[in-house]
Amino acid sequence: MQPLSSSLPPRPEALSVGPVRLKPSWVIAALIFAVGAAMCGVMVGAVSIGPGGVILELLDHVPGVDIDSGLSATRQAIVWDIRLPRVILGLMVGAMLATSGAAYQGVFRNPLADPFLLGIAAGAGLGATMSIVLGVGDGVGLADPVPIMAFMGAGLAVGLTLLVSGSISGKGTSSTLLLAGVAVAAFFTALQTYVQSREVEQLREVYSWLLGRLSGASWDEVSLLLPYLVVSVGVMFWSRRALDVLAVGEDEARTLGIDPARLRWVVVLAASLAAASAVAVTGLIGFVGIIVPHVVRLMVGPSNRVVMPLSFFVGAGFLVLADLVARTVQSPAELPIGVVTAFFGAPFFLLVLRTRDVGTGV
Amino acid sequence: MTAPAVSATNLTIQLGGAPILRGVDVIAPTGGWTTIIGPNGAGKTTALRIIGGLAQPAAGTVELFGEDAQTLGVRARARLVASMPQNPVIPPRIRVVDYVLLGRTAHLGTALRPGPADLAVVEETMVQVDLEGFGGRRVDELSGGERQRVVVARSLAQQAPVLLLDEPTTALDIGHQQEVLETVDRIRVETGVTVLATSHDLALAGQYSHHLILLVDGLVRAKGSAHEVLRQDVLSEAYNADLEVSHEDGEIFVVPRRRKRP
Repeated sequence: MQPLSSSLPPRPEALSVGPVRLKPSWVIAALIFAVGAAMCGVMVGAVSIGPGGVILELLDHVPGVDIDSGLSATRQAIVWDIRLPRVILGLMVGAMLATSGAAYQGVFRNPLADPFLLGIAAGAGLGATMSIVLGVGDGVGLADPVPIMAFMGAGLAVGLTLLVSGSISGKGTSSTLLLAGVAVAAFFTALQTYVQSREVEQLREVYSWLLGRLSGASWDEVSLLLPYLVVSVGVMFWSRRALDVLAVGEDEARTLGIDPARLRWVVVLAASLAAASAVAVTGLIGFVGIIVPHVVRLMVGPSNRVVMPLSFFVGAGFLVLADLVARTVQSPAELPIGVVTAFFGAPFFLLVLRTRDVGTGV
Repeated sequence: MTAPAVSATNLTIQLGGAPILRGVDVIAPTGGWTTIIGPNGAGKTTALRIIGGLAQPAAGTVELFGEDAQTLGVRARARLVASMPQNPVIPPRIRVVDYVLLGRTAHLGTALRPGPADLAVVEETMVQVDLEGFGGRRVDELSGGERQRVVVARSLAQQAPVLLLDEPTTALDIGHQQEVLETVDRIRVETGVTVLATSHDLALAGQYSHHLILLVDGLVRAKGSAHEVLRQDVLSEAYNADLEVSHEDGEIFVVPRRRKRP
């Protein structure tokens, strides 16, 4: 048994056409979009702050640097304590939702897959509703019970989905996993609706959570979410080339050397962790996980190794812009950010769909 | 005498309660071309799936070069056996170079990042199947014959010493059938790869194979050289068909005949 070697001499010239890769120009464009959105997010609001002031104020916080940004103490506080944590949290949540959407679409080879697919939204919704209705504690910041209960609810729903679909024992296929997710989501939604309908006086608070918001974000939430982002996005990025192999189907992927059940397991866990931790902090922000990967795909092609990193940056910028709209159009009142993502996202998505080469699926 | 490339013995499997294979032996000698023939539902594809690691037999063993294949991991097996699927899934908008590169998966590091050597293999296999300059084309926009050669190239890029072909010529016209089989046979001669195929086309199977295995209802009905297996009485019974087998210049022709009405 010896490895096959060709009798043809190696050809001196390089490959005429190279494989798909992440072009630096795409990364730079996506990065500029995200940074630009973040700058707008910090500058715009009830009090406008110029870009120079923002940049100097940020530099002032770099250890060992002492610059006078020329901003008043109030404005310094607006930049550093109010807007910046909110923008950073928006970047993180947008990036996590978009990346996990791309991962779900890749692993299920289904363009309609989204981060809330396996019961995460329904589970988190039930957890948050229970927490609000039962009034478990009334802590703020890290002591706020709503995100904790939401995260637990999402974890419970995904765990149940994996369990009933047989994925834990390695028997289930991706279709049984999808269907199990639909059933679990319906069940948790029913429970959530029941709890909510019994306590109508808290309807408003529950709805406000369900539609998502970044208001009141602080550095505490940013540091709480950061480890989840690093772990989940790291695993998803690591798996992106394997997902490109999985695009030929589970049987063929296996004959090519990828264990499809193991890959599905790893990617689903990572993507669910990203989505559950993101929605626990900000509520159910819909549409980002669907629209961002699809727009990226329509622009640069369907390869996961390209779509996933670009979705990370584009999702980050998109959510900050959506939040900017949410807090400015009706100022001082705020729109739920989930309304904004869908209201602006859907038409834009349709526009891209119409003007690009379509009929291509994932 | 070294162990054959593929030695599957007593393969037994039921699918949905129905017995598909009932103690089948499949031996593919190293460097040769072996074809499993038989009517629809005889278990040809299932036998190939078991050997390719895609189905677990209820009983029986698969040995690759004398080693038990059950103990091999997915990756190690993919380095030994390349499978060319009957109906390959072509990812939307994938380009030829990216598709052929999928064949290198089992040789890449854990990050699956291809190196210059892998790209050289891709280039080389594209030349082998006469697809030079096709790298940037979209696979889903190629003709049926070109697409089949792209799939062959992907299997060759895997550089596995065993190549499984499940109905490699279905959906191709007679010219493209010959083109694909000639390509595979040329590469078999050049590289010493062992070919194990299934086929519906008895004439082509006879022309390209050194060994034929005739499966009927999950049992081996006949095996041996084309002259031993492609016999009128054997085939008529196996396929329940009226046909004629003739010989000319050492070649075997299997021709269907219209049943005479009473």
